Amino acid sequence: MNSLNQYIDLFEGQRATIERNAPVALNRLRQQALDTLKSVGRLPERGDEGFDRISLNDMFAPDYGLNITRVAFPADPRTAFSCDVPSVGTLSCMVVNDTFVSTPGLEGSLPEGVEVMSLAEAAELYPGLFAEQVAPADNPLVALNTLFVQDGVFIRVREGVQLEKPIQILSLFNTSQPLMAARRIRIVIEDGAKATVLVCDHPRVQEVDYLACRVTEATVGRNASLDFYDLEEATVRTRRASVFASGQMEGSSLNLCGIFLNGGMTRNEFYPRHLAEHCSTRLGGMVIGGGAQIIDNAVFLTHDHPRCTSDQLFKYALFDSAQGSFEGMVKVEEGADFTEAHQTNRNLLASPDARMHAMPQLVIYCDEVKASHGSATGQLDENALFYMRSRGIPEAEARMMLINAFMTDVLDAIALDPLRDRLHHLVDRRLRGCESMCSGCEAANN
Amino acid sequence: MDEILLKVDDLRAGIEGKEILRGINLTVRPGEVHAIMGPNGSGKSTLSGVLAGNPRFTVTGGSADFHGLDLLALSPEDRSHEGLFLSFQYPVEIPGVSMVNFMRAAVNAKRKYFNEPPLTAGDFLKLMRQKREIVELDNKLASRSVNEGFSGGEKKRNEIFQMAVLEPRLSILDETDSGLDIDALRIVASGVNKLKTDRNATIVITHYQRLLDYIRPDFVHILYKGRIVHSGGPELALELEEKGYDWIKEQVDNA
Repeated sequence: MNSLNQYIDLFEGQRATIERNAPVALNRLRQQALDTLKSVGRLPERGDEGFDRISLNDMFAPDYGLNITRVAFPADPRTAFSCDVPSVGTLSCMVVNDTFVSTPGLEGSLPEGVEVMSLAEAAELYPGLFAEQVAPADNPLVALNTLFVQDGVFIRVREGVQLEKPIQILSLFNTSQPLMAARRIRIVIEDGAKATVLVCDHPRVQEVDYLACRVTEATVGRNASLDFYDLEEATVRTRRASVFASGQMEGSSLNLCGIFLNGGMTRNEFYPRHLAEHCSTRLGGMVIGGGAQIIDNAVFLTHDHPRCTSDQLFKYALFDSAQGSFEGMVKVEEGADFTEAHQTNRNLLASPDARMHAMPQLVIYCDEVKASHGSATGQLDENALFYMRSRGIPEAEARMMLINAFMTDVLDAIALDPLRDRLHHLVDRRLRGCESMCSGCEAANN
Repeated sequence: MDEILLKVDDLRAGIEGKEILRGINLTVRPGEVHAIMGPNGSGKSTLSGVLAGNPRFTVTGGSADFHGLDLLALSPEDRSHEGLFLSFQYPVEIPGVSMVNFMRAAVNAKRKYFNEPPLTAGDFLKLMRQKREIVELDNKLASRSVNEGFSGGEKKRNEIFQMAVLEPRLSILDETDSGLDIDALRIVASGVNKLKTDRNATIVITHYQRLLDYIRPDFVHILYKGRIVHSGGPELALELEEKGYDWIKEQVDNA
């Protein structure tokens, strides 16, 4: 079955409704997206190049339903909770299903020069920022998102503003019916500015099928810096197809860390781009997969400017019959002299049925380059396990400590101490088999 | 004294189908120090591994009674809780697990086993401080990953530090002297001696007599080809130092 057709049909049948309920600046992008999808013809399936473990065709096959008429979901006051990271305090907003929801007090607490608002609103206010997409328009996931996107989050940090508090986007599903949400996050960090953005993906209802089709676009200005942390804590009924794309100006830095703890089927694509010299990009990814989970990360990074650095570190720990995939393509183009590019992938298989596919790739068309890549997949160190047990640490706990230790360097890249501690705690809880959520979320559930 | 701490009876064990221990008999009473010596490949480390419950080894016969418990039926962690401690010949490096977390997990696991509440942070730190002094272990090692980047001497001192914290009834020191210079050897040995009481016991596994100058054994056993072929008092160690193992090998091989 070709699952793409139902989306093309839906769009063509409902185009007027979709566009009536969305800003003009977003509507302008839709024709190109439609053309892209028609020319692509179908979504990638398992076995296609770059899709060793996952089938987007299957992921998009169920008829989830989209909320194109913008029916307002009642915003339960109890959902107005925050996943506060202790002692830092976050500026938070929410995306409920596919709609931006501000939290009380957000507006008043935003420092000068910082905007956090609905994407629809921003597209009306600043159509120029949406004229061109940062994400690759010929990518089918981006095109699918573009076809249906009506809202999301817009974040802008004005020139020179150093925002110390992280901005948190709590991204929730909250319906009793299956739903697909086309979400978009647009981040603009202007020259010399600095910000940290944390996205938490949670479903509020455990027993419903959801599909999140998300595009995150970030531009990082000259000498600006963005820390972007992406946490997926969902259920086996949740599917996620996410594309992250960024454009960096001279001297800027991007530090991205994806933490994928729970979910049904996840595909993450990363397209970081350097638009000038002296950019630094760090990509980290941590996957803990259990059950029949499938988690797939794909990085497409091209060095086409001199004197830029990139560093990738992706680690997986897979249990039960979980399947993981990591494909990373680092390309150093001619003329990108003095590039430094590193890519590391390490995987732990904690059960005989867990499977990992890894394909680190490095293509270099340039002489003055320092580059490395490597991947290793193995099991827990039996000697370390026995050493710990011989000191009285029960086997299950010893395993957990070792897996947590294995992930340490991924989390070390997170600059904010309290945030890192909190994420360590979440990993701990995940490994202890809890269906864990942020403490704030738990409090709200009680 | 009739109380028996460990009674090993005709213990047989091996690895990957190859028999290494071929009927070990050994009785250890509280307050005693036993030295097990023997040439390379005689099964010394296998014996310590089997007693501590290393899953690499398969027990094929015999029994081991540890103060009334069937030792071989216990998991490695329960053996530890019940008072068995193995000081590793090669302490394992565990990157990413800090010494503090490691020790806290170990201490609290034991407390849980005996239905005691976990130690408070303050009490735990006090315990660490007290025990560190016994082996003159640097405080800065506490924040490092377990054994990672430790020198040979630090690793062995760290073993004795862990032994001090866990207060075992029976300690097995597997080649604790290997890789130690004379100062480190003295510190490690004095740590072991400080921890000695008439309630606990020690099995010292070693190649050389040198360590036995510092830790005085009550009994010396010679392990050869998976069996204890000769037992005696401390003077046996001196005899070995003087004459080597050849006379033992000849005796056994010609028997």
